Amino acid sequence: MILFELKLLSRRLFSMAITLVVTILIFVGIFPFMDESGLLVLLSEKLDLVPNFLIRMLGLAEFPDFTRFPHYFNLCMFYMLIKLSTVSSLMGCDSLISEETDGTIEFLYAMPHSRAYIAFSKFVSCAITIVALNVLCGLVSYLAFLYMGEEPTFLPRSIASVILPQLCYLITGMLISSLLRSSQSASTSSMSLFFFTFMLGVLPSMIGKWNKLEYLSPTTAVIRYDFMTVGFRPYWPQVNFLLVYSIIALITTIVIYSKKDMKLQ
Amino acid sequence: MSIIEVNNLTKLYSGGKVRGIENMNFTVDEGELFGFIGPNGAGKSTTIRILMNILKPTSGTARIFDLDCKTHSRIIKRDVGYMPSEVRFYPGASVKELLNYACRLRGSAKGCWRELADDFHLDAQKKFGELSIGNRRKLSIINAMMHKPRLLILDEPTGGLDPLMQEKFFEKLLECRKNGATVFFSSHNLNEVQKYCSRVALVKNGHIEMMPDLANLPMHSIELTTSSDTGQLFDKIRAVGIHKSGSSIRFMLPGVDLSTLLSLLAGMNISDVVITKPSLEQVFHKIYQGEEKSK
Repeated sequence: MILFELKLLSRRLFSMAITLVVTILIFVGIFPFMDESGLLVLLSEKLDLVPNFLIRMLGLAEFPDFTRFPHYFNLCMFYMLIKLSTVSSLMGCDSLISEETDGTIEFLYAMPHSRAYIAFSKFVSCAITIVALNVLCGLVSYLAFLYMGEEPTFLPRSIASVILPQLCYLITGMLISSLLRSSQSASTSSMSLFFFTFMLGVLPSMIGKWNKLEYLSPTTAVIRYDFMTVGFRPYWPQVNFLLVYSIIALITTIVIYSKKDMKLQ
Repeated sequence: MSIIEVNNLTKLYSGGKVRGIENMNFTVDEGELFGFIGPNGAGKSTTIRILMNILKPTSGTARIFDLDCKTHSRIIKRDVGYMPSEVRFYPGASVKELLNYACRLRGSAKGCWRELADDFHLDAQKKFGELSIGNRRKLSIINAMMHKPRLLILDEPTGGLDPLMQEKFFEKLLECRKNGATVFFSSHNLNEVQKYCSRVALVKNGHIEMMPDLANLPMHSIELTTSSDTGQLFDKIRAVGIHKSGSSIRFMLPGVDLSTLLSLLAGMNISDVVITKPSLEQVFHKIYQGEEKSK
């Protein structure tokens, strides 16, 4: 089942993979202009005016030098994290309900497999696809570093780190998907999920309290105050919390999915 | 031995506000070709989906091979071939990919569908999205039959098939039955039900109205003209599909015992009476029309 699901997903996500590769290439293509853009001067002059929470959120606490490729490339990594997190969230929200709405799930239900197996297979296929998209981005990024003659010191750690928040979004999306009544609300739900949790991560820095809210934002588990200079790295207490949450959410999803009535037309 | 056993099966939707089926009871014996007929919304697909564990019953039990459909669904489905009323597969996948996938999911030999695909003249290279409605149904029939199941559950299988393919379909169905399979299928085509089924359940308003043996349809259609009060008459006989129009009354009488009816009619002022033995189609129409007119 996983192989077939992967085939279906790969057809859907082929254009996404192309978009990501092209984005990385565009970022690399723009880099030579960083020397002349005066961005460094502009940043150092204007940074005083930027609120503290925004500086932390944007990873500018450790001042980056965008004329250095590794620092500059972290911007691209940040974009990829946001993009792949929204994709993961959408994949999760769509994963269970779309086949119900399309009616194709009746084919799977006629087979001698439990709903738990179906839901778990869908999770594994989506997770493999997400990892594959990250590996693809990692490989293209690695080639970009080689092309620029730079040592990709933080790249493997950054790529490995961003997978966890994406899996977290996938699982939460699947949990939502098991509760949805129609796939029409899947994309709205996925966007709400991503931006709501992203805001939860930003909120404690903005108001200077309720720091624990950060734990509910998967991206803050890898986006630390200095990510623009050293790339993404896991904040272990939050990573551990998210791992425990993910396991509980996945089990809950499977239980709900196994018990629910299908909304077939 | 009963292959399907349904006891007091009830399915209510929207927190009990909408009726799906109510207290449904029937059994299907091994080797039977059992027809399940009724108008749209009668509860046929709901019953079938509960048997396939796609829907969960509100109360009552449904058993297949003496196993509970809710708790032993995975084991049951190893020996069940299911064809839904609407054929919906993955549009981007080819017929070959879909059928090989079904083989893998069931643990059947790869390519076990080829003979059936040849019989039904189905092009395996075509993508599902490119297939006509008839070819989609052929694909679904092959998917249900290819692993030689002990039980076939088919929800309106012949809709969209041309007459030649319908004949081929029933040929295959009888072949399955000859090899020991039991067939449970719903249909709107009453002629095919009467032609091929041994028994039939007529579903109306979520429950089984009658379940006659088709080899000897124990049913009479009575049309009488009377000026007498017929209220007591209908209390004493189990008439169905009653339709009154002035002094003329039409109704169906399940069971072969006409003597009770005739003795009751003897005491009434009857100006005309016509008793006929209707076909299944006439039975269906009279019962359904009776329901429509009484609304």
